[in-house]
Amino acid sequence: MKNLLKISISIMLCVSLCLLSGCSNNQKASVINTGKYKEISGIDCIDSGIAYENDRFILKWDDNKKLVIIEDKLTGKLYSSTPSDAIETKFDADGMMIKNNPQVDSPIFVYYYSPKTLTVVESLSYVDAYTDGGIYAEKIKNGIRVTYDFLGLEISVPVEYTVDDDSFNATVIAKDIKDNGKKYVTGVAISPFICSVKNDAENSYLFYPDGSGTLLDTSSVNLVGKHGEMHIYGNDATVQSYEMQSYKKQINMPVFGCKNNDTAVLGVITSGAEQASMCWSVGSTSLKYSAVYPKFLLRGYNLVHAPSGFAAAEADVQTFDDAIQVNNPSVKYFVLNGEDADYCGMAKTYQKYLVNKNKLKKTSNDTSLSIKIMGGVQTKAFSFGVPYTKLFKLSTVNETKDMLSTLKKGVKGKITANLIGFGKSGVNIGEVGGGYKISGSFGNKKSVSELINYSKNNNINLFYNFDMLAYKESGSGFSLSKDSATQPNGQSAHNVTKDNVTRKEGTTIYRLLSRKLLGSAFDKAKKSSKDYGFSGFSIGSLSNVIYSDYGVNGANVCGNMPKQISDLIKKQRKTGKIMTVAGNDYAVAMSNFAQGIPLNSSNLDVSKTDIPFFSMVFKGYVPMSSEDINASSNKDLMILRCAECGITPQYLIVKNMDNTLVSSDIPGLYGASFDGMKNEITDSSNKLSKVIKNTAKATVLSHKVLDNGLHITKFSNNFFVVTNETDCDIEYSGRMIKAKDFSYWSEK
Amino acid sequence: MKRIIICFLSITLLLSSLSLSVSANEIGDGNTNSNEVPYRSYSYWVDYNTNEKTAVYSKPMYEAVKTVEISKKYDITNSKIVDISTNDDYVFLLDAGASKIVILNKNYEIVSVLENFSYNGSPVDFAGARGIFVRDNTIYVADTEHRRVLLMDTKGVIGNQLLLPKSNLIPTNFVYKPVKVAVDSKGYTYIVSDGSYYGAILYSPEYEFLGFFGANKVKTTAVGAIKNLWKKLTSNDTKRAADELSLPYTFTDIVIDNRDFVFTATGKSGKDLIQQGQISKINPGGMDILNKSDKNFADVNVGTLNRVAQIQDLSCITVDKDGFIYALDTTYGRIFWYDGECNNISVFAGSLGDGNQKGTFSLPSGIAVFGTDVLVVDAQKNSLTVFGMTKFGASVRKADKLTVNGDYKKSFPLWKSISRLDGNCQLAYRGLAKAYLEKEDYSSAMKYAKYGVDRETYAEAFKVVREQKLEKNFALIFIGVILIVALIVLVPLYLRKKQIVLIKNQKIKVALGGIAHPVESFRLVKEKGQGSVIIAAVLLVLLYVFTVLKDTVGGFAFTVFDTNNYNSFFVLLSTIGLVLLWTVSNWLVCTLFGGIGKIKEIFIITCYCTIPILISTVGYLALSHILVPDEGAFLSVFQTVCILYSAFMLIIGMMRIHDYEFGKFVWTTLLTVVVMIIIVFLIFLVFLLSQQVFGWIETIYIETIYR
Repeated sequence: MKNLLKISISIMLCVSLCLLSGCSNNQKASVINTGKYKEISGIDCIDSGIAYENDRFILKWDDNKKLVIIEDKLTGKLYSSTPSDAIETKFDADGMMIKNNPQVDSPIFVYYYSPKTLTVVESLSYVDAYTDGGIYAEKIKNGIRVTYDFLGLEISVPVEYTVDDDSFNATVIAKDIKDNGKKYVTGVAISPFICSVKNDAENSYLFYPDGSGTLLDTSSVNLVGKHGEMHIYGNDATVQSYEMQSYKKQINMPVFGCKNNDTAVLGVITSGAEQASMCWSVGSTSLKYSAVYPKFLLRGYNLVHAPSGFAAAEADVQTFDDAIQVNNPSVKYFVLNGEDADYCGMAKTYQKYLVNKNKLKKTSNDTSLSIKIMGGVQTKAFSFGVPYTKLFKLSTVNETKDMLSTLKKGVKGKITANLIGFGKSGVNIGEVGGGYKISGSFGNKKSVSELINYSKNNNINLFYNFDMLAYKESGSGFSLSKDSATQPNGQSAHNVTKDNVTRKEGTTIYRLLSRKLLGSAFDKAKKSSKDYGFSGFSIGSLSNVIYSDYGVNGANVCGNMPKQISDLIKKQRKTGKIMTVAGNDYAVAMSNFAQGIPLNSSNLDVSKTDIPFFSMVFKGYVPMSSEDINASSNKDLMILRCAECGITPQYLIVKNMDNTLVSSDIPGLYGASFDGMKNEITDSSNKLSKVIKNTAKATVLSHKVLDNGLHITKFSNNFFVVTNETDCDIEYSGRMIKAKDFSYWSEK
Repeated sequence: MKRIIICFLSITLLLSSLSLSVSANEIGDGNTNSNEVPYRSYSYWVDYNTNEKTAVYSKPMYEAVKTVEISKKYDITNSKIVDISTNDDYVFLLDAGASKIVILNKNYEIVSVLENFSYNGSPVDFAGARGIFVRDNTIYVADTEHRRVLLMDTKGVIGNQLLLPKSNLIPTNFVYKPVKVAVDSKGYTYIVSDGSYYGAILYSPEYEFLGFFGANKVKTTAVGAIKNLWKKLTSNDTKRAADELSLPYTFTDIVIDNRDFVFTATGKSGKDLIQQGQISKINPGGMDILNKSDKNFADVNVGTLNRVAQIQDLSCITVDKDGFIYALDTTYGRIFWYDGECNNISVFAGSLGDGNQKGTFSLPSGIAVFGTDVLVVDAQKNSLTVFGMTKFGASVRKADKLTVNGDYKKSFPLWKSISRLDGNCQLAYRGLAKAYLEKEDYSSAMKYAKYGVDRETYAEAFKVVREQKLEKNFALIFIGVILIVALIVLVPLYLRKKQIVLIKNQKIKVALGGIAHPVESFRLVKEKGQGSVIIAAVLLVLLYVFTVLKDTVGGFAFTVFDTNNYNSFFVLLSTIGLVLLWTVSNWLVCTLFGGIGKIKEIFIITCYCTIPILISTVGYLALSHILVPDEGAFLSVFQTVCILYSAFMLIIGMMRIHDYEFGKFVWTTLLTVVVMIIIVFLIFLVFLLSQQVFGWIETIYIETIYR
């Protein structure tokens, strides 16, 4: 009996130890926590005056206001975290000092986690550092380093301000951030008012990179104004969000800007864009200024459901990671003057920046029509009442060939096609890369080979899409349990599908492939594509989704995702072609063809007008096609937006439809029937073919939105396109531009 | 054989219990997001599967074309736009914060702001007002806080006010707080008072109080009636004082269409997340002629905000000149567009969230139509959002109007094009089915009716097709019927004459003979041991298979097959499971009460007794492909007769094998049913306990593999 008791206790102890051992983060990569806070000392602080100077800029330190001020030697204008006209102390008629709003006088906002409220709290440097005398500046190479010491909070954040030949930079030195470990830093926003304009100012606007790009209305609203933010490159897919929200376009470029009469500032996030949100604050009569600025998340988090009574109310609370992302968030500010001081100048500047960074070469766009062909979708079927999952064939390989053949006869020019969902799970989440092969249900090897030969013989660019991000089955060399990305708590990042129409959470639990295995996934895609003989392959969601993997060093808070994807594409395109779908700029820049580029913004309340910023940046360098025109609410507008920048129109097509698909949660299927719209596709393509042909090699030189609603684009080869989005005919330069139509001509 | 049957049953059981799910996701590559609008449009299919409504994505029919920020346009600090009304030329916005009325022209530009009102020389302020209505250049303002309705011209000159009328019809405790007002073409004024469950207050064109109009009704259910009776029997003064009265819910909005029908919205009534009967259409007699008190006009699923489920609130309504209804769910900011026959055309706008995009809202508070534009005001954003109809929406509207008016011919090309552009448009399929029916292309009508799940049109077309086939093949069918009858009559005679035995196996003979001679057959089973477990099992399996087939591949006009929720496991339980349960329970009971039947005999007899049900199932399966629902009564009678005959056979069988008299049979049967319930209860108990144990093991497993 005693022995039995001993054995039982031993077994229980072993089991307990095994279970408890699971509580450790044994998969976690080496992490760097924030340093322990101690009061700042030993800094050799500099006095007011010039800290650095080059041919273009003078960097000054104002020790009284604790401000970094940059002077543009070309114009003599000042740029600082406080708007230039608010730097100087002003007095009212009674001689009383007019104080700026503390936000306007704060070079940085720090966000820290409050253990009391279980929420993230914003702290302004003016309130919590400046007033307590906690700002220290020291000289460094090319600039100065300012340490903001939030004494009451026991948080210190160093920021380096440096000057280059054509720009100046603000960089947060993440590894030197210190806190007391209780109230810990979760994020930081730097220089929120460098890109700002005075409310109601004429000939001024803010540029916000939402979707295609948009200009914000900066007129006064009320005391509070309007605020908001959107994640750059989309939300972190590792964090499961439970709330239904409205549909927003994605920010695909880490840029922002402002125009103030004859000067403009373009901000480019050169490091840490994947961690950042782009914030807007407009129309506040208290602030008097409207601004766009980036806010960097330094620490990853999980969302945990806190019941009522635990937190202030029932809600999802953020539980943060111990480690911080050590990439130093950095923003480069370009000052634009004269004719370049508008969004066209900003686009050209960013284009130049990308060209230099990625060594981009000019590429001609010879595609008249871009097509996405969907293979299959999983549906539920029954056999003698026994349910099973069936692959509904939306388009077989032979049908795909027939559709391409029909289009080829009608379209004047080249066709680029992307085959999506031809793997064994169709467009639904299954194995990584859909198993890296075309399912036999869609056609045998012979028919695939015939399709590929047909494409080659008829000058059709045929890509095959591999979904290498989400998966729910082991296979293709990737294990469901071992090869998925992990959350900050060490668990596999397992998310649940949800249908925003029915508001039902699905039962499909999927995981995200570990970031360290993306290279291997790419290699497999490349091999498969090459074996089949496709023109290249498309990386689908990997071109537009960023995610964290806390099991991989440096991949926390989505860290280094743009670089990783960019490097992988660069490596693959040496031997083959790569296509992106609705891609972020880092992926688009490296790709051979970019499908689904945004032609409109999210229609924010604060948005004044959409601009084709994204198209302007990449036109002439990367062949691009629009989003699916047949899934849009206003196809006429989409066609006009294609014409505006010489973008190839794109359609999503399937051959077979059935009313069993009506409750499918794949949006856009309803309007994808090829038989119903083949004429529309060819008509649209042919209508745009001349614009595309004439602008194939050109870049966008200038773009204007006139008050009467006309959009005028001038290309580098002196080709003009004027689009009329209004409901009435408008005359321009002796030409009548019909309502909802466009006109084009060439000037010598 | 036994092994094969067991294997088959086990596999079926296993497979049918699998819960399969198929889902795509925003993150998958199937996602397309080229909408220029910040919401996904959808519509509801009716009768798809067994669901009353099924949400499906649809091509956008409305898009937010303009947002007018009122407080930006004129200098008002405490502006709060709460309601909207339109006439042919202008849009009128009620600013209840600043006590002003903002008038916009057709281009949604502010043309004037009415302010500084006075009445009889005294300044008038209507801060806190909640409703505005305009007819024939008269503006009606429901001045809630000041308990009056103000009547003014379009210049803002107040000419009259409607206060609480003095009448015996008004209860003494009535609180007059007008929230909405509407006036019909003859000048009758309808006022909705906050908290009034008597209906709208009705004034004559001369502003004489006429009474209350069209109150909602309290829903009565059988359970409610029993509860009320119980209360009456057991109530005392203390209990009565603590009782909550069941009162009808008050209207939240009121509008009047071109033909003077009054439409009301009831909004959020009670704490149920899913509401019903939110919209009424009341005739001049005060009767709800829509009669949709059980219909949920809003979404079938609820969303959450900060993880808290939100109650839908269809509290604002408007009707256009063609009778199309637009109802606004103020919780979700969604607009539900219905035609005059309450067919859902589209759901668009809004969503839960921050509401910082054009077409989404923070606090939507009023809706109106202006031509084909739908206008929504937001009391928090102080904005007017204009939803313009897309080309596609205009086509659907036109086609639906033609269909509702019965002009199927003109609607045909429109529906054809709509179905090509949006494969999810049920109205298009239904419209096409009706058009084809009118064109006498019955096979196409059947095809599209099947697509659009329109059983009525399908049955009409099918009836004609069936008649045509009968006419065409009358000679063949007639000869066939004569032959079959002749065979039925002559073959037995011939066989008897020639003494030919078709079925030589005595056990099969006994099984089949049970239908015609149950007493004799069951005697043979009991006394001669001529029953067969294998035949019984085969019969049972056939019953299961044909029941599944009846459910899944029965005639379209009769069968509603729910692909989402159908599970043959439940059919298995209700056929094979039920027979086994009966067998075991009956054996347990009868063993204790002197029954001499063995478990094997009980099983055999019970299975033999299912033959009539099997015949009815096979018959139903076949006839459902031949008959139309009008003739469905025959099927019901046929099924009922078969079930009763099975019961009759079971009575005889049980009495025979247990050697019971009828009385003993009755009470042992009752006891058997009780035992069956107990066994089911125990199975559930074991199932629940094992589920918990497996759940615990699964949790440990998941925790282990996630780490």
